[in-house]
Amino acid sequence: MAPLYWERDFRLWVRRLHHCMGGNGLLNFIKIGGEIEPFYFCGPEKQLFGCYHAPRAEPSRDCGAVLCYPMGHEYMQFHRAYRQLGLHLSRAGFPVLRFDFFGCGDSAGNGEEGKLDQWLADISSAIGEMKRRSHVAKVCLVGLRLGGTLAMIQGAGREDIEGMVLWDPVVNGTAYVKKLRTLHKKMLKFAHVKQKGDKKSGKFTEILGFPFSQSLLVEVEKLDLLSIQTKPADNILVIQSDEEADQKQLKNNLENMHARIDFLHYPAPHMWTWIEDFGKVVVPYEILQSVVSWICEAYT
Amino acid sequence: MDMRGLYVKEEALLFGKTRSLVGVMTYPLETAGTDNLPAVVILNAGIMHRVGPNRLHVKIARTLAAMGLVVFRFDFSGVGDSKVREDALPFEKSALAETQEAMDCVNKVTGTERFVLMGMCSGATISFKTAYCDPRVVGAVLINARMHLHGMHGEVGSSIRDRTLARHYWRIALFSSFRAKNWLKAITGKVESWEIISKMVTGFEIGRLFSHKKKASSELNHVSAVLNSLSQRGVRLLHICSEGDFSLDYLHVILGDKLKNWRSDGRLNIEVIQGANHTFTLLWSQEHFLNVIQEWAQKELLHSDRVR
Repeated sequence: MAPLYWERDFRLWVRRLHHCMGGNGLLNFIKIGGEIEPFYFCGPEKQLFGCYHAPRAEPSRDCGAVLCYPMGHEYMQFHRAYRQLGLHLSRAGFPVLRFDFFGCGDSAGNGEEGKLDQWLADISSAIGEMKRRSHVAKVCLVGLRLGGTLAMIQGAGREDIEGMVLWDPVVNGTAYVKKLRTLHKKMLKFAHVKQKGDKKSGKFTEILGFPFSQSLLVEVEKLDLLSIQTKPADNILVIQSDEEADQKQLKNNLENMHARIDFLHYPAPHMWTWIEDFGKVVVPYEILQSVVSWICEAYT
Repeated sequence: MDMRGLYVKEEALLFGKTRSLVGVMTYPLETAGTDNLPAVVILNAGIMHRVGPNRLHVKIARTLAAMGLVVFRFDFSGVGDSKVREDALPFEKSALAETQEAMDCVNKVTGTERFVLMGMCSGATISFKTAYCDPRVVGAVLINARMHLHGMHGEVGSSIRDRTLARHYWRIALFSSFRAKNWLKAITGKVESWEIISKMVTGFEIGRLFSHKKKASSELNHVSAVLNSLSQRGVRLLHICSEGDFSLDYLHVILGDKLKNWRSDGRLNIEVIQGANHTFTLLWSQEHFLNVIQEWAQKELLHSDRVR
């Protein structure tokens, strides 16, 4: 049989992989390539996909990290960053559970079935699963964007969350939905796509390739983290990389609740745009490193 | 069609020689009369993890499983949740080996010995290469496949790439369903027009056309041999091209006049989705794409004596 030639194409592809992991990222990635256990939990009807990273350093810490993903296109863009974060934390001795919310990623459900109540219940199930697997008493939630908002709401409603990392959480739901709609309009203008029919089908609204039910959009628009008056955790790290969303007021509010707050400002506007080519998504190593250092310091 | 995953069963697996590759198997709940069907293996689209762009791979898996097919989606080493390899095997070899390991895994779990590979972009290239060298593969769905049919070495490779891009820009500017939008972008200076114009012109540089044509004939013989070999083995091929992607231009540049003939004699089955971009971002295009896959599977996998 005649041979096929495609080596050069793949060399280019591998170079892009290297680039998207932030230059030296590929080397770091190789060094920390670790063991994970993928599994489904939460029963057959609403099964959730999880990846458990067992602690890889001795002694292991008495605190587990549960990572809450963002939603929609942000989930696609930050999956790699979260995997890296999971590996770094497990190498630092923490058991880590990453999980997909219902209707997202590998979990059961359609995108348009997402509801805030369901997702809050998913965080609760993930915390339970983390405790069952690792036998830790303390839990730290790490949430990005809507995942951060849900983590804070969940933390305010229970007493077993020791630490929390809020990475660009959605403080004001109305502003968040407005921003998503703007990005969608921009994508329609620039991408090689042709819109057909009405994007609002009545049941759901399309935003950047993901369906959002009308009821979910109403729920999200009502979100206001500044209205939460209960401390969600004792130790909190707030990270702001999206310049348009001011997190300082959230920081002040949390300080008034007598939580120990650290604030990290890392401007990275390029992370908050829609990218069709996921090969161009950069893993924000500085932020990941800061999260790992902060959690290590809080739970030595 | 229900894609919620409630009428199919899903299982997460670690597999491969070092059990470090991550995959999700989707089984039909009802297997009566479907136990002799090939299994479908879905490969990564570039560095996007196994759920696929806009969760498209999950939707494909659940749609096909609801039709009675077992579907396995997995991550190559270093992509998604799979661990990076510790040996120095280059990607072009490891990807092929891991696709075969994925087939071994499905075989071990379900007993299936025949497979259909499905991949987008670089996943399409690996699907094609694996289909060519592994006799267990009875079908391949190549989604926005680029650069999978020819050699990439030296002048011919870069000439094909340039001509593909030039053809792509001309088509997008003059004939695409979203050409008005692109002209507006160009007029308002929102795209790098000069760079695009220069590619449109240099791609068809007169001097290079003659040398390309001469060398391209040997490429065409090679492509013909590969497609004949797959056809003789009974491998069903489906190319799916988005209008906004340059995979269609690539096929035109590589095959030229032969494209029409090979489409009509069934050697090439090409579906073009008008108004869709490379990753099928809009929901209508995802739905259209799923319908194409579903119809092809119905015809070629469920009701075909040759494959069963």
